[in-house]
Amino acid sequence: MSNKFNEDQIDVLTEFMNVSVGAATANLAELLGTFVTMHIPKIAICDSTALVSTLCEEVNAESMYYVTKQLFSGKFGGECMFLINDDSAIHLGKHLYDMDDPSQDDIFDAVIELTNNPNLHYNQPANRSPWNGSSIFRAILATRWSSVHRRR
Amino acid sequence: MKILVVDDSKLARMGVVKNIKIIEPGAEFFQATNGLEAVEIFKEQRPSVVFLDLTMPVMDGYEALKQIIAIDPMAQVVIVSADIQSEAKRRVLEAGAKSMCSKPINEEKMLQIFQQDLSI
Repeated sequence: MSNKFNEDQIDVLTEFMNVSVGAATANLAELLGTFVTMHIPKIAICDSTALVSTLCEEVNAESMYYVTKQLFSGKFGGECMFLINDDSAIHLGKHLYDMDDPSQDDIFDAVIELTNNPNLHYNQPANRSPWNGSSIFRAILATRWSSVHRRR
Repeated sequence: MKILVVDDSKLARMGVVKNIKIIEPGAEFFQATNGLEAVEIFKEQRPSVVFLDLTMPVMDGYEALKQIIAIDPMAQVVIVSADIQSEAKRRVLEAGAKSMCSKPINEEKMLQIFQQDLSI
């Protein structure tokens, strides 16, 4: 797919993401009582086929990830995907629930709390077997409901 | 009045300039896309006010602020940033910024900056 956006449009998208992530970062920092270093948003433009491989380039294939997806609509619409790796999610669960050894459900709840997604679904324990490679992204992109998945 | 606007986003720079023009129609603007450019322009032009973003390539706003204040401890620097963490605000005020404003900036915020934070 060719890049159909000009330089100004990319600038607008980048600034939009910058402001959005900035607000989210401030809330996260306040929630966790910490300071978070912000980075310049990176914009990639691709079709749906290339989206999975683009996402896979941004994550460590050896790590586990919790992933949530949420739609937004209005004058402009889109879909936000949030990824947090296993270690960070465990730290989040420890902090939010003030416990040393949070259960898997506690960690899922912490990720849900962090993303403030009221219609969240997630794989039940029996279905929480590890997912390989890009399969998690293909599955998530295929769903129309907000969801949290765990990926290896 | 010389005003330096520093942001890697053209849209953000346009927003700052547009709102300043409402309050200071005669202002002369200089623009920089990163902290390094900002420090160079500051040395040459000595603007009355610097509007400075924090998250930028090459040199970020924290380092640019530090260098500008080192050049002129009385420099009037206003941070305009998407990074609205209270700790970020504490750090830039401690480093010498006059105030910090969240993006996106609007006329009301700009008026408050000119009326309450700057000595012009």
